[in-house]
Amino acid sequence: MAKSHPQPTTQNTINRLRVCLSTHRYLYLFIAQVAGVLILGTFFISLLAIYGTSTVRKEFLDEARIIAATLDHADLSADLGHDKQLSASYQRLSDMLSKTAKADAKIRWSYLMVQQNGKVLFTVDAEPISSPDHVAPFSEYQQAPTALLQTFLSGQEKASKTYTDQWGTWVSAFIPIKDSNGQLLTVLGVDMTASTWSATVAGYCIFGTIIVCLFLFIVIFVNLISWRWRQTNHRIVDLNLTLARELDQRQQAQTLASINEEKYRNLYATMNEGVVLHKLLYDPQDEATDYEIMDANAAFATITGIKISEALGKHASQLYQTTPAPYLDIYANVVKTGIPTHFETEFSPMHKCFKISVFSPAPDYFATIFEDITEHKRAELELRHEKDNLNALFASSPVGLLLMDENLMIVESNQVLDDMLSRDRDNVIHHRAGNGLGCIHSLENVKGCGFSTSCGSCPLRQTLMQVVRDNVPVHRAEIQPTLDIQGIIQQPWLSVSAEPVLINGRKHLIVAIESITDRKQTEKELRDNEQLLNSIIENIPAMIFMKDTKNLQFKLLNKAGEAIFGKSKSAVLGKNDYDFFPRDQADFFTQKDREVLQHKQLVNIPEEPIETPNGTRFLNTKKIPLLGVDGNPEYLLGISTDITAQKNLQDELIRAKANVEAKVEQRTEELNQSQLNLQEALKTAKDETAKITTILDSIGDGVFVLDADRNIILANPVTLELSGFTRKDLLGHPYNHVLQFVDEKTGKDVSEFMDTVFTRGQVAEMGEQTLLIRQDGSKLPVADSAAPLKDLNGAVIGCVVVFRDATKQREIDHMKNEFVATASHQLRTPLTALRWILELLPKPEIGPLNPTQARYVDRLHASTLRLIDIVNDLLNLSRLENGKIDLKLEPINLLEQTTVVINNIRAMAYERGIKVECKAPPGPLPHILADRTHLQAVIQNLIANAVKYSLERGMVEVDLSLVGDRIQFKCRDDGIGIPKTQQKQIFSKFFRADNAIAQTTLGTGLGLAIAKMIIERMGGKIWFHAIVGKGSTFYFELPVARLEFK
Amino acid sequence: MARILITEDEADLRMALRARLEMSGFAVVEATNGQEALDKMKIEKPDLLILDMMMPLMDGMEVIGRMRASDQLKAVPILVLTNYDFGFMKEVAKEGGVVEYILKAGLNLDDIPVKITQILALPDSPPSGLNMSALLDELK
Repeated sequence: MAKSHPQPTTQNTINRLRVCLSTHRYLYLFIAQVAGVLILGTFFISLLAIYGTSTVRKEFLDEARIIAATLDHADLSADLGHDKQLSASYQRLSDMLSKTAKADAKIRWSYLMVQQNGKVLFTVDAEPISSPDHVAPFSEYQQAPTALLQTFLSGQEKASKTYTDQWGTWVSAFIPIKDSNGQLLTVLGVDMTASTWSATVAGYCIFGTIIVCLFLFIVIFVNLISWRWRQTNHRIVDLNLTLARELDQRQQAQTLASINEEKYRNLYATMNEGVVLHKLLYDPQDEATDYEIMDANAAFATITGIKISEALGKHASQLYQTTPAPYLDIYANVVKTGIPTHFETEFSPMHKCFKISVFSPAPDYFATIFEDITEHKRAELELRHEKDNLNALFASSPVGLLLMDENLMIVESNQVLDDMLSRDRDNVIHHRAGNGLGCIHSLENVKGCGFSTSCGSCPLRQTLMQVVRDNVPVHRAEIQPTLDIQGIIQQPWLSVSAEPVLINGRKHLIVAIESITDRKQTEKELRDNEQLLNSIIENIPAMIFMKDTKNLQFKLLNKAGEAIFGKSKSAVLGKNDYDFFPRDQADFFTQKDREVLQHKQLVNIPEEPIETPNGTRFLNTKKIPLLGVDGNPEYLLGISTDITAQKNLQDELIRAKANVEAKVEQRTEELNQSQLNLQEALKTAKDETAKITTILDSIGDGVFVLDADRNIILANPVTLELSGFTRKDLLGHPYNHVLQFVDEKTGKDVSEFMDTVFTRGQVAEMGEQTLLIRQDGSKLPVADSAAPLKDLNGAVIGCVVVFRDATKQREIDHMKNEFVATASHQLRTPLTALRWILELLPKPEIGPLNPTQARYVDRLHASTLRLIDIVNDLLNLSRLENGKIDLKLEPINLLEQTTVVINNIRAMAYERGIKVECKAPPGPLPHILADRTHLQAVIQNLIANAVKYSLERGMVEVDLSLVGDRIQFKCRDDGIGIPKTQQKQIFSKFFRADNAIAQTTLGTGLGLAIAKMIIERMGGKIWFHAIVGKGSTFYFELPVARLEFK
Repeated sequence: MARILITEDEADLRMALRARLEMSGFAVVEATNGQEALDKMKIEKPDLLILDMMMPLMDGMEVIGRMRASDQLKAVPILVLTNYDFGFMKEVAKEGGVVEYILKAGLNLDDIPVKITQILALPDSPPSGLNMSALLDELK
């Protein structure tokens, strides 16, 4: 039934127009792209050009500045001579200019200029006189560019724009050269030809130009490809349309042809669908009555089981044995109208289902193409059946049921569920789980189960998601969601079971929901009851215990029981009497227990003693058998009351009654006796006070006592004697109003030392130079200490001060010091004479010594010096040890001190070929707090040691550094080192290591001992590392002075 | 040539000092104690006084005090050479206008003419306006 549809011309025109337009649109787009790239590119290149110009200008100026810097100012100020005879200064300047200008190929010319009377005059030219380009000095520069004039005017350097003068077109840099007073001497001009300038700037743009060209190329290329592709595409579409039209016509032609030709068998023989050609048969009234099978393919035989030979030429009613022929009406209609149709049917004679397509290839003919869809139908039917089953299940189930898809969308629910949640069916079905059940947290618009994201921990959601994810059923998960049930927020307990099922090949969930709120309520009540009972049992003051009937092991024990047993529950439960009691007692208990169980009767044991960790307790115990459902004892319950106290009381009462009379008598006697004792005690107390007073009075030191308010409450006669005050002056007065203790040197009050006794509760001593101001104003040297008086709780309630006359002691100290000083003077005086005379002896003025004599004198001199050193060291040491050296701590620059010492030692080091180096971090080190003289002695000692014990041509390295809030001094040598075994003694007095003695006889063995004492007295630390044969490193550290004094 | 007055009670030391100073071309006058030194100074008018501290009859500190009290003598520079190094003595002496306070035992004889030359080269410095009697009180 081919119908030709004439193509409307207008449509055609529109199509053509569209193609045309689209081609134009493409052209516009292309032009726009190219224009865009060109505009952006130009912009980009301009930016590069600007950048290039500024960079080249900067470099040019830099270069000119360098040239200017090479010029000698003296020459600039000097006379240049005149054109005929140029001065040496001119020559030097010219040479320098030409040399520097030649160094850069870009620079064409350089020259110097001055301005006089508003005219610019050339002074020095880089071009030699021989050059034709040479400009004579002081000739006028008539075409001077604006930039040059500006430079003269402002004294600022300047790069000119391109300008032209008589020599050519230039870009120039003008650098003003000024003398030290800022007076403009001259201006240096450096020229670059305009073409060089442009080329240099262009160099910066090349890269940009290349990029822009590249972009342009890419745009053109892409558009070309895209245009070609479109062209091809258009052609393919056109081709397809033509093909399709042709195919349509051919197909119809073929179908027609196939009716008459045998060829169609080849075409359809291989088809899976059965194809049958029929001819419709009519009765005289032109009504279709039957149809005849004209042809059929192989598949027809396979599907229907009817041989083709049997079918051909047969009437349908005959072949299929039905009246009328199957689907006659449908087929007749197709033939009549020419409209093809298709339908599905169950063909009962064959018990098969078919999908049949019908069309009429020619008048009165119709072809059917059919396929067997029996299996498919069966599956469909089964599915329907399954659904019916499901529906039946849903309808009949006593529990609430839901069917959900894998997105937890509710597909089906049953009445039980709807009733349970009091929800309309419409509000349940086609809602997600949470929303369908009325969970108050759920939001319909959230993908997934319908819970909001805040419900991540919701157990219902987790349960359902788990089933979907793991494909494993969940049984009776107990969940308590918060639901809106008829407008009331409730939290029913639900038991949820969910099972994954496949429906129509898709995963679904069947969810059974049962309300277990009632059960939960009952459970809770039971639990509460049990808890109540347990708590009663636990807290009842009588011991309650329960044993099992088999082994009589304890199954329950309450708090009171624990108390009586003296053991914790965990130690008792699961054990029996034999574990706690002696065997005979345990036997007795067990016998009683068995009796109770056997007779199923309560037994009362009025009084039984048991041994516990708390001693013997007496218990009144009732034992009761607890019967199980079968009437046999299941447990043995025991209730025991501790009657020990009661029993003791009774015993005591009896004893008391018996003794009451004797007691009364005894008490009376005791009363008399205690009165006597009291008198005795009073007397003793009086004696005690007298004793203490006597002791205090006879003590040789002054003793006084202060109360918590620092009032004097007691003072002995020596106190009165030493201070000159009377007891009346002192007692009851704050001590510092009367007794004044002052420092001998400063005259300041030192009585605050007693405050430390009160505040810290510790013994305190006065300074060594304390004076007591006596009643008559005279001063008495005293030595004293104060100790706190404490009550039972350790609180300070007072203070005892003991002091004595220290006049003699002070005198002795003074004498000692005097003696040391005098002795040292006496020792030194002959030594000095010895030294000086020995220093005179080798003088030529005294007379010549022979070499041996000279050597002897030298040795004598050395020994004398050593003796002097020893005396000095000993003296220092003795003072240090007695604390008699007053160190004057002041901020000191350690580097300065070290340098002084090194300079002193250098001569001695030089003699032995030893290098002494000093290193310190850059920048000033903070000052240290030290005594200058003694610090110098320490440094001297350490560096001298290093030099002394270095090998010939050795190296001594002194290194200062800041370590935290201390400065570290480090002196390293690569000398003989110190033997490991002797390292411990190195700071001892008179100690010298074996290898040191072997090295030199000089040295007192006191230096390091003194150094250590000095450094430690100044709050520092001294130590060393040494390896025999490798060298030693000595360190000391001293604290940084907190305040820097200028 | 500069004239030096050596005040020294020890004959050996006096001898050595004189020998060494004369070698360097100084004119030397001697005194054996403080009183003698004061007397001789008035007559000899030395350019510099070498002074010991511990001496019989009158010690060095007293000499310093007296010199500072005398208009005639207070300008004479003093070089103390002593073996008496009782810590604060040096401080007191320096406050009393002593230019150098040196321990004899620690001093090489050759250094003395050098020191003297240095001191004589110093510009005249008037002694500090210190109350010497207070200083001397403190010493006692």
